[in-house]
Formats: sequence, C-alpha cells, structure tokens
Amino acid sequence: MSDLYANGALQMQAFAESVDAQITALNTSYLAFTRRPTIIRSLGSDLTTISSGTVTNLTFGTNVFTNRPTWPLFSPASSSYIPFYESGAYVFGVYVKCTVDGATTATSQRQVFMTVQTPTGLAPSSTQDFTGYGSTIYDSGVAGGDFITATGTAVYQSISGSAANQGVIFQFVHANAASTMTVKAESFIWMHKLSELES
Amino acid sequence: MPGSTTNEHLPYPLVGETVTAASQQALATAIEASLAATDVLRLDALKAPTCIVDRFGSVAITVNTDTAANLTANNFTDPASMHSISVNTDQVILPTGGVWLIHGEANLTATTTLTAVKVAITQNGTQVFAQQSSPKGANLGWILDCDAAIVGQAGDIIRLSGRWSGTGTGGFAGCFLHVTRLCYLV
Repeated sequence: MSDLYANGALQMQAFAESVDAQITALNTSYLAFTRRPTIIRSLGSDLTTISSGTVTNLTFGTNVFTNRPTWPLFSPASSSYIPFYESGAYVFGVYVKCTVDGATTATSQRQVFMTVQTPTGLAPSSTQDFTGYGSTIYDSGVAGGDFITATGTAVYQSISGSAANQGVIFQFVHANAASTMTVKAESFIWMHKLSELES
Repeated sequence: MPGSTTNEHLPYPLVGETVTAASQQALATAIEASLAATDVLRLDALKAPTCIVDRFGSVAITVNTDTAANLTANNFTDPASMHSISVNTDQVILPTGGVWLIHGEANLTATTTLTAVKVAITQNGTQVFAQQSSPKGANLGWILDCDAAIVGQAGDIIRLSGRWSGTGTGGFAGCFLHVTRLCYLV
C-alpha cells in the first residue's frame, strides 16, 4: 500500500509540475506580447543650416523610451540607420518640427522620407532600398515653424551570420530657397514590433 | 506538509503522504485559480485599450487659434473610462501607462480663403506632435492628419486640436481621433 501512496503522490507532483510549466509558458508569452520591442528617440539637439534641396540625414540618437536597452542606436554605429531589433513586422514613424533660419519662401515644400534600407558597406555589397515612405507639407506662414509626421511599415527577417542589418533611415529636405532651415531638437522617431513572422 | 510547484505554487502531496480527495481538490482549485489569472493576462494582451472617436458636421474655430475638438460620436471605446460622448468630449484619458499610438485627422475649412491648416495632438495641454501646412491652392478646405507614438501615464489627457488661418469664417468640417496602446512601459 505504501508504494501505491508513494506513486500516487509522485504522479500528482508530476502532473502539477507539468501544468505549472504550461501555465508559466502561457503567462510568459502573454506578458511578452504586451511588451514588444519599442523605441522612441529624439534628435536631442537642433540640426541647423540645412540648405534648400539638400537631402539631410536625421540622426535620432537620444533615447526617450526603450524597453530593449540592447537595441543599437545606429547600425553601422557611425551612421544614421536605425536597425530593426529582431525579425518581425514593424510599424515606425517620424515627427519633425522645422523652422526657417532667415527669410521664408512662401508655400515652399518641406518633406520627410523614411527608407527601409540595407546600409552601404554591409552585405549585400550595395545599398538596397526596400520600402520608402514620406510626407510633404508646404510653408504655412505661421510663426514658430511647421510640423510633419509620417508613418510606415516593414517586415524584417534577420539572416543568421549576415551583416545585412537592415534598418530605417530618416531624411529631411526643403525648398525654402530664401534661407536655410533647422530641424528642431524635439523632433522624434518611433519604432514598434507588431508581430512575429512565424508562430 | 504538501509540496508545491515553483511558479504557480500548485500543491501536491509529498512522497510518503497520502493522496486524498482533499489534496486532489486543493490541486484542482489551485489550477483553476492560476488559469483564471492567465486568462486576465490573455485578455490584456489581446484587447489593448483603444478609443476611436470622431465628430461629423461643422464646428466653428476662431481664426489663428488652436482649438480642441469635441468628439461626440463614438466608434469604439474600451475601456469606457477613456472617453465620454457627453462630458468633457474633447478628452481621451489613458487608462494605463504605456507607449500609445495616436492618429488624429481633421477636415479644416474656411468660407473665403484658407492660407494655413494645422492638426495637432496634445498631452495634458502640451502639443506633442502635429502636422501643419499651407493648403497650397486649395482655398476652401484641406484634410490633414498626423500620427505618432508617445509615452503616456495613467490619467494623461489626450486631445485633438485644429487650427486654420485665412479669411471669412472657418473650422472643423469633421474630425477623428484614434488612440491605442502599443505596449506597457515596463
């Protein structure tokens, strides 16, 4: 009889530990789903004297929020490319506040671009554009500058052992011929992983 | 003295202890409680707090003045505490801390000329992002949108704001605000 009791106890323990493992796995996945990789970064300081017609990289290097401290600021480190954190489907966007440094060309263009790209110098050997997004506004004549937002989506599949660290580059261009322009420090980008690519 | 599992603390009799109806019931009860807690996490993950509200029809705005939109039509709000269509209709209140995806859109019009339009999102009264433009030849109306993700705390108040410049009278001819949580802060 004592063996039977002992086996019964062992069976209950094994059953309880099996249920514990499965519930723990479920909890971990649900908690992870509400904490998917996300960053918000600002420009940190004004980017001044941008000439008309000059496409200018915006280097968003100041973390406002991140739930992944190991998310690289840029990849390559000296570039303006913000890499995806890991494989997945992503949504991302940019907000730019811009002001004229001097005179204003009435109703001239201001544009932001977001390009999903493999940076130059990383395999594959040439820069490749995968997806481009952007937004265009026109000088409003309102004191204090103008504002632009844009949003895009992308799917990123990391390649094991490859340096093809695809990312997003954010750029600004304007047609204010009467003077240069400034992109203000409070401008920011954001990037959020929406989902896994595979179950 | 029964043992218990590491994470969920599910009780089981130790070797040498007698398996009884009571010990089996204790395990079943503990499993039920754990699954109920897991179900709360499941619903939290699959039902992110979301508010989609809008306003149809024209609402006058004083020229050159940022003005919060009263949003009186509710497409979807869960939890209900995020927005009311009868009280403080310009406010969407964040129910938790998190990173929030916000999309605002407005059709701004003027009766004579329209020289500038702006749609903005404010957080506790401070503009956090916006889009502003000349309507570039569209002199009576311009639809403008703006969207971004922001860090928000429980209780923060989000508003959609519009502004127009020009002559005659002007204002909203319909507007829309969508707020949904992307992730928790921790």
